[in-house]
Amino acid sequence: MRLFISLSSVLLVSAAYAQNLPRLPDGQPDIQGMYSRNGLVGLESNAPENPIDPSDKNPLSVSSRGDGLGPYPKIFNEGGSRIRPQGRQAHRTGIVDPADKKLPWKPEEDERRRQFLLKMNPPSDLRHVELNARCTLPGPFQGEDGNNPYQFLQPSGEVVMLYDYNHTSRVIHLDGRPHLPKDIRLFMGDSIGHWDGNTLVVDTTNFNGRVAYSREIPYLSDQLHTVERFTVTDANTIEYEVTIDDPGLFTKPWKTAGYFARSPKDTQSLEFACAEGSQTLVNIFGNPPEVTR
Amino acid sequence: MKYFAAVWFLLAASAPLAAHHAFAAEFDVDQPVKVHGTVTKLDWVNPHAWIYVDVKGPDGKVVNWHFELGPPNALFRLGWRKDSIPAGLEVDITGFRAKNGGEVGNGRSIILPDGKELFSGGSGPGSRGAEKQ
Repeated sequence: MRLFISLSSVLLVSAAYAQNLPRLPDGQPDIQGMYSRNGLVGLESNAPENPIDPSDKNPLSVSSRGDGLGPYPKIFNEGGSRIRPQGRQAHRTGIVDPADKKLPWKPEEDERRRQFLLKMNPPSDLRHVELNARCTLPGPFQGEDGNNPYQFLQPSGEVVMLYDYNHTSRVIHLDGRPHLPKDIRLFMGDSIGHWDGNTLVVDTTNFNGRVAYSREIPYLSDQLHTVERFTVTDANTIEYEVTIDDPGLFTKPWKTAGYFARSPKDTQSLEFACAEGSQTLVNIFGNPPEVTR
Repeated sequence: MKYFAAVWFLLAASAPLAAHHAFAAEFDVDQPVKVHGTVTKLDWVNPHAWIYVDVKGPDGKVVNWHFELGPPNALFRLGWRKDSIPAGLEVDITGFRAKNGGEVGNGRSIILPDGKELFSGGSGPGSRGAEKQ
């Protein structure tokens, strides 16, 4: 009952706000600014035992030690801080379809990724070091949401999504152009969008098969096709849902959800030189040969 | 202050743990370490800040250890600035050693000369870090 009242309140607030959305000269609702993204990547039911570090919801995580002496103190995940929501809001987060969070894996692909995970600790080779630790671009899902904010810019006819994480970006074209030819493959994909009222709908294809969803799903295939819905519900909140259609791994599409919350005004994107600032490969494999310069 | 305390509480209550890389592939949870040493530098770089300390062993030999911290944006949001931990400061650092067996670790907490512990669960609402904001 309480949930129903909360959701009703959100809908009322959303409807009122949608009628008065501030708009840019090209007609787009103005969503520009810095945001944190929250709640997007959730554990599937029947998640595999992950030998690296699963999410905090997984009891196998070394971060969830009962003695409170886990390796990551609370200082992690506070770079994406957000301003307090206006009133009480309910958000849909994590895997929302199917409702039981049991993903529609092709059995042979589920087994293949489970075997892949077993080779990640210790990593049997570079391919089995997680993609983010190798400083690859994060794809749609692995922007280190707790630590790194996102910035939306809206030049005429486009929405540009700047990732603080690894300084990458997505340019979402709103002019109805077709997707890139199939032989062009990208970490961040090729995004075409349009506004449907107060919802930005984004269709993305041309992924390169080197994009992870989570630590338990360490890769998606190059057949990945996403449809994202960014729904502006008030001046500080964008509800987010993405349909993940990957016929290379799954028998049908599934959906996950989260929300963007506006960050405090002093939030800045900081320099992110991933390969220089990361010592992960050295800490796993040891020092590379000396370089003379 | 009340505003930031409220925000901090929300974060502490709801934030999932994540990092740029998985802990267990890189660090050994069965090798906790604690060192006492003198800070030589703090690198404010993404994806992780790093603190370097000179540690004198029982044989008198000084070894430079370094420990991984959270990303700069996380440190900044708690009120830390570039000069918060100056070179020359004596600190105790607890953490977990890297799997390569070197003088490298994942920093869990830093204890300042006045006993204040940074970056741990103790830096909660009302702590100096939060108040600075």
